[in-house]
Amino acid sequence: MKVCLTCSAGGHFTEMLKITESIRDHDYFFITYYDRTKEGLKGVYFLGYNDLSNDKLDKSVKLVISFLQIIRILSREKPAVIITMGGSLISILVCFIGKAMGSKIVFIESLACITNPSASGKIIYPIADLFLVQWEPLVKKYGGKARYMGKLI
Amino acid sequence: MTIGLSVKFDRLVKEMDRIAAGLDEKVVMQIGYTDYVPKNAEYFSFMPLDEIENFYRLARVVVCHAGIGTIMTAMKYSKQIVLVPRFKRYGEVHNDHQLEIATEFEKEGIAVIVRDIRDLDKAIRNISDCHVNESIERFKQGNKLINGLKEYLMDVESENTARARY
Repeated sequence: MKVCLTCSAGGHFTEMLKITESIRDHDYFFITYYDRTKEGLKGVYFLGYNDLSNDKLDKSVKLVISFLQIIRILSREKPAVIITMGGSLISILVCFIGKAMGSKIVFIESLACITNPSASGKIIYPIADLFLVQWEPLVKKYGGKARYMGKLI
Repeated sequence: MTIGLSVKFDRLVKEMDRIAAGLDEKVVMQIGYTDYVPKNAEYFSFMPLDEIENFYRLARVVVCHAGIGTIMTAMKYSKQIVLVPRFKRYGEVHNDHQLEIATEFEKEGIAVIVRDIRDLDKAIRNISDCHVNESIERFKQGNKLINGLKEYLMDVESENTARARY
């Protein structure tokens, strides 16, 4: 079965690498932003435009380009499940496009979110098939679908 | 010592450099975009993940900002951890979530927080000499998330195979 992992760079990506332990039996790939620590990693699609990049392209143009890139990647890979930690616009895009294309959506709230739901969590919550938080008090903040099963350590 | 992928962290790098002069242990610093140039320790800006993990593996203590990625990597190797949260009032971060994160890990007995940078020296000298952080080991044993995720993926797979059959 094919699994897609998507998130922003930095801490979320480290958490994502931890998730790969649970998906070793499956075929998986990443969609994320580029940064120099990720050089040489295999099975990673980098979206063309980085959140932090300072080029002259307009934000909405970047968004359209990313949108098309994601559609191309997902129609080529056809993942059965998309796992995300949120943390950026790309993870939200990937989840909504993936959901429309028939993938199951798994959202795992970052370990960094302790008492308050994240922005991406709130957006993805309605379409998530499995919604996990890493601190118990957050279950109540989200509602019935959220579950606590421990931490990604 | 590491400050992660985000913006510069002069306050920590400067103080760690000062302390390094008086320590009889080797200090290696990842300083990212920090302007200050360390004089008493080996340092670099960035490095690929697998190479940087080597430093974690060899360390006795990991001194770092309270970024989740950094904490997780230090926990992966069950290290003694000293957290120096970035503060909004110094313009090091846009809100004080690092202090919130650090406080939770301190409650679990996993890390020591340095709230005032002048306490860093003492924290490094006082931390356990043990090469394995026992609290982290205990924490890892109670973890069900990875298995829960595995089971979910297995369910989806068998559902998909069943659907393909009929």
